[in-house]
Amino acid sequence: MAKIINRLCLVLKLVIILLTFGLTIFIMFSMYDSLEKELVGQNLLEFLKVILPFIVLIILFTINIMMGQKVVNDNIFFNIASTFSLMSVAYICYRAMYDTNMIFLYKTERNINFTYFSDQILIIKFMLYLIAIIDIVLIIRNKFLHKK
Amino acid sequence: MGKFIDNYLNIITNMLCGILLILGGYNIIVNVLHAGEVGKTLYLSGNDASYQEYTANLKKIESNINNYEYKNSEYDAITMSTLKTKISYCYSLLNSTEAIGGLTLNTYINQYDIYRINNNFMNTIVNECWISGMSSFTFGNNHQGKYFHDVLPKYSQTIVLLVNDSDYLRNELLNNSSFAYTTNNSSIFVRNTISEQYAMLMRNYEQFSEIIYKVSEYLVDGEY
Repeated sequence: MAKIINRLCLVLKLVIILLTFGLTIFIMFSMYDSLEKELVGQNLLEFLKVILPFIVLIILFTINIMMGQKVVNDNIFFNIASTFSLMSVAYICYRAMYDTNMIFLYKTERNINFTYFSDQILIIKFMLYLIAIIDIVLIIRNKFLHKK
Repeated sequence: MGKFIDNYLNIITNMLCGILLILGGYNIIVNVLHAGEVGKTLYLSGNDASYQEYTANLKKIESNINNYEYKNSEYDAITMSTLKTKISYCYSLLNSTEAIGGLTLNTYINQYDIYRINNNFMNTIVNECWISGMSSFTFGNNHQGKYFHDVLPKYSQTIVLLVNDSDYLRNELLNNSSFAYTTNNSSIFVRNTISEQYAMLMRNYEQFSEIIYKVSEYLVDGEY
């Protein structure tokens, strides 16, 4: 049972990270477009700051799978926690685009609630960096200590 | 030494995973509660006192407009006729489908409905009926007589208070995307703000219609 849940979480977190990465890029592009800001200089830097944790995580997850790192892939606690956190990110993206009860959704041309999404960016970044840190610590533990 | 560091790293990763789980769970709970709060609907029965008072005021205004005959001693017939036109215009705005009376009874309304109707109150009813209609006519034409000089300014003061309430309501509704909407000092759980917001909106409409009704009474009786 634990193995099935672990596998399910492993697949889910990969699917959700790709999905949320795409949605975040779409929301950010729409936001800059509606504000008539070009993605250069400071704006580009801000944009990269938001999508950087997604890129880091996608790279780390790819390494985990390609190199078959069991210490990460078989860690059920890590997989459940990261899936849970990524699901909350996906829920935030969904609400930013489809929650029609928030008034700001009607104030933008794009029908995306940028105010709500901007409010949540900090907690999204924090969670994604935390997942990346745990993943890196697990890789270090696997590589350098288990060999000895 | 290696085993010590291994155990130590194990504790750190488990601790960080715990923090991550708590954070993810907290984020989901807060968002679900927030979605629940902003998604609350209100059944519009039309049985509440303010709504009935408002519809009764509208009927009385309509009756006063229809029964108007000039018998005023304070102002001439042209002035009173212009006042009647202004009151008729206010009545048409209050009775329009964009106002609160345009909502279908026995259905559910959401926060966007309240926002829309509150905007109509501020932008159309108060601005067009009172500020550019009634006020500019009564104060701008240097009419002599007590009613336009002493009585109507008091109504304007009441309307300023209604506009303040309406402005507060609009800002609160615009703020409903904010993370702080359900996590402020007074409440962290769903608190059904829509009923409070509806009560405030309805009170604004009812008090405004009451003022227009009083002006229409003056139009018919010439007394205040």
